[in-house]
Amino acid sequence: MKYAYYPGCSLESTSPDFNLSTEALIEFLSLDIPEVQDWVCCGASSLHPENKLASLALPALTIEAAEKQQRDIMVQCPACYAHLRESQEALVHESKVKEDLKETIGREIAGKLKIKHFSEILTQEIGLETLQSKVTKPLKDLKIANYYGCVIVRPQELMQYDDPEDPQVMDKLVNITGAESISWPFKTKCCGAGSSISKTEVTLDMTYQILSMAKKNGADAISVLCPLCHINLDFRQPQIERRYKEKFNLPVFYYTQLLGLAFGLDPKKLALDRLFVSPFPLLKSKGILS
Amino acid sequence: MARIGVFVCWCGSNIAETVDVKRAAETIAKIPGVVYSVDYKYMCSDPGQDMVKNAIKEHKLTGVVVASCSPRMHEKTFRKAAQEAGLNPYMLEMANIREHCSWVHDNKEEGTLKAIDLIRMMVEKVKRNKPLQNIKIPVTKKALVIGGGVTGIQAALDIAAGGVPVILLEREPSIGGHMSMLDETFPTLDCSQCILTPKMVEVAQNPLVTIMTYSELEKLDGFIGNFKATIKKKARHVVVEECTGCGTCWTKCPTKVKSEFEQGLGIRKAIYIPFPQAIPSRPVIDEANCLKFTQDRCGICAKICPKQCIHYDDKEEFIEIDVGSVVVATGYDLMPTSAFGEYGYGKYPDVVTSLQFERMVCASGPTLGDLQRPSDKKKPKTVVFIQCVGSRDPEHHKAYCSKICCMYTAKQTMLYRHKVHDGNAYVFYIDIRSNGKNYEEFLRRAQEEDRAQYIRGRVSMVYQDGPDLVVEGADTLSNAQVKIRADLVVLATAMVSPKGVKELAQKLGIGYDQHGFLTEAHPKLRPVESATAGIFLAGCAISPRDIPDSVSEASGAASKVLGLLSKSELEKEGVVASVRECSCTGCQNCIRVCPFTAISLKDIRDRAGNLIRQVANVNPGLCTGCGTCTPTCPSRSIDLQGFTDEEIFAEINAMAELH
Amino acid sequence: MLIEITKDLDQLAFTEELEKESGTDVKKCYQCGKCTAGCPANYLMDISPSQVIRFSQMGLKEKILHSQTIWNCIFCDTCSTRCPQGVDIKGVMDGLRRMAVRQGIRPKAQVRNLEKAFQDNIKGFGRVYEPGVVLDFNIRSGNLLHDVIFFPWLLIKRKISLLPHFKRTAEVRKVLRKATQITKKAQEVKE
Repeated sequence: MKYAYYPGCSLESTSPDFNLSTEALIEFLSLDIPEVQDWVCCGASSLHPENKLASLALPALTIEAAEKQQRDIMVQCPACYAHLRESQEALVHESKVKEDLKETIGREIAGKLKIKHFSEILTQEIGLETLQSKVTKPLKDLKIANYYGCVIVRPQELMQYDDPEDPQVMDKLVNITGAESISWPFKTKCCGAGSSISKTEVTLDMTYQILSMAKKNGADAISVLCPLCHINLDFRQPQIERRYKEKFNLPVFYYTQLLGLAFGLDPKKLALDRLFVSPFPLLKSKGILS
Repeated sequence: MARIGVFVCWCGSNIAETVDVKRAAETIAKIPGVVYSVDYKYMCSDPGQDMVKNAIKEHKLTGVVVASCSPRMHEKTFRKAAQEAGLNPYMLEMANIREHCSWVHDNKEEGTLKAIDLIRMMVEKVKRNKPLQNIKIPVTKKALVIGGGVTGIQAALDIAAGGVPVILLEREPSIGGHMSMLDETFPTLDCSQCILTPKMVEVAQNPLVTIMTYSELEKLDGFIGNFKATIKKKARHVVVEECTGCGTCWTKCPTKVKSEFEQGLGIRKAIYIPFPQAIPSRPVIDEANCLKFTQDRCGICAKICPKQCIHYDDKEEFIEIDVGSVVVATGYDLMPTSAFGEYGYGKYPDVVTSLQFERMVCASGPTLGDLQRPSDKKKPKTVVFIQCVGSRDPEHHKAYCSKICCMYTAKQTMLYRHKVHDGNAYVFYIDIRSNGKNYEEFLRRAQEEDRAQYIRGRVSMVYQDGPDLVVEGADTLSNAQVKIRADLVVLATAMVSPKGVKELAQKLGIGYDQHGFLTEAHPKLRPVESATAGIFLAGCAISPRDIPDSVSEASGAASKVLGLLSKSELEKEGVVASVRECSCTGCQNCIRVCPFTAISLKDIRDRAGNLIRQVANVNPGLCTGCGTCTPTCPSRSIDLQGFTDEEIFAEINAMAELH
Repeated sequence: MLIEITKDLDQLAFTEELEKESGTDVKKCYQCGKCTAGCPANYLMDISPSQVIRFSQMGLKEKILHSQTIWNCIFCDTCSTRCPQGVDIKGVMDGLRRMAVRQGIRPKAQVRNLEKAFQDNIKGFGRVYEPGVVLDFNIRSGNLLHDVIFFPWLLIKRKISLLPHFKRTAEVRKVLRKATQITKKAQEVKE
């Protein structure tokens, strides 16, 4: 199982904390997962409303790049994950679309490699027991609301990630850090990332509901696996607090940052200082950081 | 010398449109052995049958071929006619020139040629047919009813009323089934137990009925009129005949277990009766939870029992009973709340199933009829009922409609409103199915008199927000989203086949579908019969239905049983295998392959009684005429009467000759 | 509203066109409303998701293509996941957007501007250059100051790069151009 890491445009630009904490984990666990060479943007949600073929063709270029390196693909961004999978389905299964894709790109791409989310690789291939054995600084007393967002769990037939109503993959990973994954109903409720720029008020409203429910269920902090969800919950949290006149003070971690903390990695390496809602007061009060 | 008569039917235009029946009849007339060949519009009619009878007598026919529809339609009719004319019925065969010819072709020339081939083949077969006699088998005048709910109870009562002894088999410690758990029934709002317990008592006191509870069917051998049932009596550990039902044992028992009867909302002990009106009113010990069995301690109940009738060393017993007929009335189960992710996967204590709600409002329930939220025991002021949960949902759960939920939900809104006068009841529905007698009026009453508020749309999600449950639904009629903060949510979950029914069906040799519902012989015309002769079906075992339908079917199945067992003998078709003993070597190939274990070894002895050799021997009562044995015989010693090798090869040769 | 079905009208023509475009069978919908019930963006829509499907079944093409609903869908897929009949409502919204674009219908919602800004960006750089997208969007939507206040914060937290990353831009442009060409040809053949 040799993987190559496809960060995608978000992790490269507005979510370097996700990227850095991921690389830190890769290094700590001594995993052989180099970056995919010559990857391009997956097209996200901008292409398919106009041209379905284009939205399938662009991710194919990245699939081809990984194929050249003879590696499977590891992703962190759920949107990239979804688009890569859709493109792969077209390359491998559909007949008319497959022909059109060949004409569009100018060559045939086999597309038979594996595409997996890092959290799946951690739970299924490395294993919770192995990860647990590496925990040196358990995150005791920390109550975490795990927020998956909508893209990684739906459509279920395409993503095949986990149960769309009550997924557990990230909960399990957070539990081995010593923190407590709380039970709450909005794990996969959409945060409105798609309209973050084009219709911001909608996003603020939807994200507010998530922050509110997490707090109501006793969360000290939120853990995410999607860069766009993170922006809404973290970057826009002050904006939401002002708009709805409510204080949340909920730090929003990437699950990789929580794992890294439990493994005793340097908070700077995990880019904790790049979070807008500072996690340091919380971590200090729980004795996780001094 | 063969004297065959051939009758080619027009079947109106069904055959005549694609087959030139006149030409067929004329061509067949030329075959050696055929002395009479005609065509006619409707052979199955009275005049048609008379034609056959008259021809047999006038032309002294030794065999008849009726070329018309599938033998499944009218073989019986024509064979009866032949018999009446003095010809052995097995000397009449049918050539299927409708389903096998005219209905699957549209070219008349080709159709006619094929029809002629088919008739010719059958003529050659009939020339080799031998007369056969029907087989008479004895009948055991006793019935077995599997399932002790209202359906099984009714069937047992009706069978006993016909003078036939009946065994009522129930795997729970008491009879009564789901109806004993209900509070009131629609559309009369009768107290359910009040109308059921008289029947329970009646069946218990009926001298012809033997109730076996805490027992299951282990095996069923045999065939119609002659079944042998092996019943497993689970160890009760209480001697039923001596026990007085005083209740000292369960009062003192230290172990508390979630009560199945109370749908998990109440408690029972490890030694228990499921409910006060249980029949028999004698406890059983639940070995999985009793301390004596799990940890070899306690033992209080045996010590304090005034009659000393508790025995820990009881073992399960196997009893063999001969019965003539079986009725399957195994009922239903409901899907649990834990199956539905969007409604919390069973995590929220105030999201309950309809059956749980029934126990909550019932005066004999876990809170004695004082309706309380399971979470904080407060009275619920806003109750949301959601219909079609798990039903009409082919994508995630069941595609079918569970039939009773529209009616019982309306009833439950009324039960709720009668208890909580200032409460609000909301019902989320998609369609209302209220098609029984007085059902529609009942629905109107729920909405108009009892002010239940009906909202047309499904519910996307239910979640906990503080002490409340938030229900996110829709009203398509107002084209709106509807969000309700509720105290209690009642899910009308889908009716499903109970655990173990598929395995039971396999033991009985009856069919079932992908949901575990038992298959009727014909959904329209034979609704209470299974495809296996002598085994009948009734109630929700077949598919979701309400009490009136289930009780009707129980009586229907009982009448079938009584009809079957009213004869002293049953007649069976003579199409069975038979062995030519002189060439049989006793290799047992046929014995090994027979699916009905109808063949056994027979000793051939000399006059002194010494064993010379063994040969195969067919029990004509068990043999179904499937023919599996015939190709396995290396010496061609076993053959199927009515479909002998000679007859079949004659057909094949007739076909091959022409091409 | 009067729906008039005349003898020469092929009632199902639009329904079938939409089914091909979206890849799902809208005839399966029995209007249970579960999609509308769970839609987080329903409050922004002029016609609800279940109404969109109903109108598709009734062939009311213009009503749907001119609605704001199809542009306000946030594509969270809650509807399709919970639909008991397996109708892909999200796919229908997607398909309707494409059909509307092809008919030249301009929505009031800003989402088209964002899509165009995003597309031009990757055609220019191969990978997304966020400041470029936002600036382009702001210009197109006529709101130059939207979200600009956050720019310095993002810079301080080093969450935005001042300069774009170029990667295989020529190839990306070529692929996107070719895809448009092939799709246009397929459309013409259909007509």
